[in-house]
Amino acid sequence: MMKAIEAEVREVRHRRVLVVDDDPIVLQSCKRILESEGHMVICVPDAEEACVKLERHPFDLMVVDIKMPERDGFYLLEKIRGRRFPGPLVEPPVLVMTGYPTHETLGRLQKSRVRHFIPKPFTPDELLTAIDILFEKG
Amino acid sequence: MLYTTRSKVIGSFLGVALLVGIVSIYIGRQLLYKTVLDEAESRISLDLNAEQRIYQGYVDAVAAALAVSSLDPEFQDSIVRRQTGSLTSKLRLIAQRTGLDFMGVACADGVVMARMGPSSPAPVSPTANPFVQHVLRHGAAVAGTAVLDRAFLASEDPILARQARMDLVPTRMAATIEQKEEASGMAIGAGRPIFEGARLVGVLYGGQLLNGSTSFVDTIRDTVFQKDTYKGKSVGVATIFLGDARIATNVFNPDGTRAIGTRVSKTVRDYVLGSGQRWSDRAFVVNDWYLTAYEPITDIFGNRVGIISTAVMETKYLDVQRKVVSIFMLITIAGMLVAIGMGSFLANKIMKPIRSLISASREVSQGNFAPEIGPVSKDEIGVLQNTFTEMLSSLRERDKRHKLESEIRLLQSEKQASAGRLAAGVAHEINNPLTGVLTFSHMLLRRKDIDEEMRADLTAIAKATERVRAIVKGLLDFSRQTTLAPEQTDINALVGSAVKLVMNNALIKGVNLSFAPANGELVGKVDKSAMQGVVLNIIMNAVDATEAGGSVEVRTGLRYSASTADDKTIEISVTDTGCGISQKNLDKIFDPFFTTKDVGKGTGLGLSVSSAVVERHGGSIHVLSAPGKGSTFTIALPLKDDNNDESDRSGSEGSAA
Repeated sequence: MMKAIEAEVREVRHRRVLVVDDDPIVLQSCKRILESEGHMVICVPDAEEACVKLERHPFDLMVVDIKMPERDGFYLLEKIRGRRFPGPLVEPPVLVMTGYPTHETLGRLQKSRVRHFIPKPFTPDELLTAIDILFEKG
Repeated sequence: MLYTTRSKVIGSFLGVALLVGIVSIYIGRQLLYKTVLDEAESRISLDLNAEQRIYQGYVDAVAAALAVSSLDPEFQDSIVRRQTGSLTSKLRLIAQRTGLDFMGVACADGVVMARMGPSSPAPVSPTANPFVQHVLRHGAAVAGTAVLDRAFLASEDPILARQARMDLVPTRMAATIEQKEEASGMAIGAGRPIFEGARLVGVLYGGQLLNGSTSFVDTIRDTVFQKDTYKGKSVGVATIFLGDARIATNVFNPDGTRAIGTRVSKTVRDYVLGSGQRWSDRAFVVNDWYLTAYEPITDIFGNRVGIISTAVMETKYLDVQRKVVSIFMLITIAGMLVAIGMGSFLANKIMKPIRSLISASREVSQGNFAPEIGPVSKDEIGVLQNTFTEMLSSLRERDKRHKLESEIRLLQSEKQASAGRLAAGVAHEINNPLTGVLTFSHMLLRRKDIDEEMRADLTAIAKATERVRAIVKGLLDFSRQTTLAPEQTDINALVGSAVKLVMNNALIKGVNLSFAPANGELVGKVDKSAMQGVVLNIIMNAVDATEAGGSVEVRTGLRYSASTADDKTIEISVTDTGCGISQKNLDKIFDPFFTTKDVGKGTGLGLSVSSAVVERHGGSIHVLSAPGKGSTFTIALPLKDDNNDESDRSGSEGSAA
């Protein structure tokens, strides 16, 4: 019963989410979780594709994997910084996910001013909680 | 270096051979010389005696001839009657028969009545006739040697005067004299008074002139030396001297003439004529060295007027000596050659095993611990070889052990490194599909239209996945290994608190857990929490491995290194009476994920992480285990100076994950 109420509360804000990961199962999982909450989800397998989508569509949130072949998450973060994108937001907030949280990675994330981070693997609730925290704290 | 030893050995041998050779040559030469000389001298002495006997024989012969003649009544009668003519012819006959050079009869006043010489002699003083003088003075017969002056000789026979006269030849080592010639003669002769009743009617005299006489000396030589020759020369010579000049000799000048007129050396002259003693020594005669003997000749008046001598060529003896010395030298040279040979052989024999040892040690220094050292000698070198071999085998043993240890260590660190990489890789790869499994199992659980059975199944899937997630997280923690923060820590307190944490566990299990801390303060620089984790892990493992009723004993202590007193090690040991670790498992226990516990009870990361932590403190963990009896885990931590900052090293290692 409680879960139903929570879902309704979340439904109030339908967010446009861009998920970037090279692994289809991760994309699929994110899409399933986020769509179940009523968010609009666009999945892309790499950084270049993400840039293309960002040019064309406005997004409220980006969920980005760090370790990807060729262009990684840091590349993407670097590329979108300070750029103007269509829609209300200059630069959508970013939730970083990684299956390999080393000190080095965490340090670089701090430098990139990314404060929201979720280690893989995660349960649906963990992902949604992380997103809620992100929007609450800003 | 090798050749020096060789030359030393050869040199020593050579030195001994040379010393022995030289000493024996010297002593041999001296001994031989002395023996030969003594021999020669005694022989010479005998020879001189013989010569004197012969001389005396000649004198006696002359005396006998006169005596026999004087006994003839007819001859006596002729003297009494002074029948000059018949006397002269009789004298000539007697002289011819007895070989006298001069013979005559003097009146009682000394004036010559008759003589065998030419009939018109120059007038001469009656005192010039020594034999007659002697007889007249003493009234008795006389026989012996006498010096006859030129006038007397001339009066007797001018031929005799000529025969006696000789030039004095300047001779090396002789006394210096003004005299250029010797006109006097020396004779052996006799005088005999002729009596008629008791009245002296005359004196019969006669004799042989020794000057220039070859028969006398040659007779002596042939009698004494029996024609003994050496290198074409007679070995022995006989000489009669008048004063110091040779008047009859068979010493020859280089030109082949007899060395008449040459003189004896001053030393001999002074000794023999001056002191009247026998001289016997080596002496330089005319032109050669002889072994000589000289004896004075005393005339009928008792004056030393000449010398009789015999000599043996020294060359003969010198040659013998030379021959012996050269044989000795040959022996010495042969000895030296043998010494060189033997020295070289011995040096080779000695040096051969040493050379092999040297090359063997060279090989050892180049890393070959099983070099060929050749056959083992039976002497001290053999002991050296055996010691060397023993040393080699212990070196080999140590090398083997080192290799094994370093191999194990290398393997260990490689294992850990690769395990770390593997863990990281696996974690990363597994996390994505795990995300999927977690997502979809949970999404399915959210559905309300599923029955309880399905819900239970899904819950099982979700739980199992959560477990996988936990394992992967552990893996990642292991591969990441956070940095250490070492600080001065009371090791006894650290271990004590770890023991306290496990104590309840042990009580529940019925295991007797005890702690025996080291006496006094035991302070080391360690990362408190990491090291406590390690100790805790090991104590818990020990308790887990021990059945109820068993015991686990924890000790701390300080161990001093055998080599340097400054090297101290803190040791923390945990001994259990548990099941022990099989030999097969012993080298696997530090591998990540190795565990003998039931599934879900341990990740198998504890000991590998512990080992890594201890190694990053510069220490090590050792295990001693007897299956069925128990194990002892010992953590050894080097006690370092506070100046060394441990965190530098661990920091750099930490980021490698």
